[in-house]
Amino acid sequence: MTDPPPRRRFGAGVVDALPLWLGVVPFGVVYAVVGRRAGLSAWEIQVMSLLVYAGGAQFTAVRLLAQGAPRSVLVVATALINLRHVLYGLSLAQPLREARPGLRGVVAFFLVDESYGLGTRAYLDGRGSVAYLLGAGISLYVAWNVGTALGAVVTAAVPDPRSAGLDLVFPLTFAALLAPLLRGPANRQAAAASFLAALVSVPRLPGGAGFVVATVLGMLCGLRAHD
Amino acid sequence: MTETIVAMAVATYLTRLVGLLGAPIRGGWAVRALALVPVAAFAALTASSLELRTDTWFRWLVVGVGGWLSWRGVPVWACVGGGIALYVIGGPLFR
Repeated sequence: MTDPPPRRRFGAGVVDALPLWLGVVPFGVVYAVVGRRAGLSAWEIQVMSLLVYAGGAQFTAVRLLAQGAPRSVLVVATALINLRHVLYGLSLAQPLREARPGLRGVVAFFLVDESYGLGTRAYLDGRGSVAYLLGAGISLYVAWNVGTALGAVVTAAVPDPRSAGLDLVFPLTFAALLAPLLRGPANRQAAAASFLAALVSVPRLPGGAGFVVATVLGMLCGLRAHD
Repeated sequence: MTETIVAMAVATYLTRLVGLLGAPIRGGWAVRALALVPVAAFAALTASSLELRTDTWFRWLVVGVGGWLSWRGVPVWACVGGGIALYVIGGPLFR
């Protein structure tokens, strides 16, 4: 059987990311509303989504702005919150080794938690590719920016998506991506350690430190099970 | 503000690029460790959206059902849709 062409893989990535729009668009709206309350213009809010494209970091930035934090703190916080992407990149370097550096540079721009999750699962299922990763990443990028644009022009009060349970889209997606990987003692121990550590460390450690600590701890526990 | 946004964009992009542009890591424990990144990251991402409080038990149940469906071979989109439907329908009764 021949491999599907890149265009079809790209389309598969776009389509597989569509259920996540349910969570991404409302949070884009909320981000924009919070940004406006923090004193940013609609233009600045949208440019941040277009250029930064990192929901957690953007929420943190507008919160810090509202508290009057210096702008240098925003940049440092952004880098810390996004440190987990280094791990994602390292784990994708092997499957992407054949891709040109320029193309890897494009993939890097669209690499977020959700596109990493979908892309990695696709690789593990034997249907992953650069085109798929880009499709998923661009689909989510459009969703985030559509949500931001809606939030930037909406003047009425916006209900919190959490009250409708739409924030559950994210843990549901990651739980669904995780479950089929729970085979073998190394993966199970890594998942259990990382899950428990994240429950404790994410609310307590600033920036993205709790997530990085939990992930590395999970990897170490998984390695012990290998040995 | 524009300069700050551009600096934030550069900081974000560099964290995404640095791992991807490096040579693939080879040999022994490092490869085994990197193979565990997806499972460890997905577990941490799932947990970071949940809270250790008794009044959030229904959210835990919904996420657990989503994971179980996926374990049974249900596609991700259906797990997400099924979980949200369960929350919307069961929420008024159990939340």
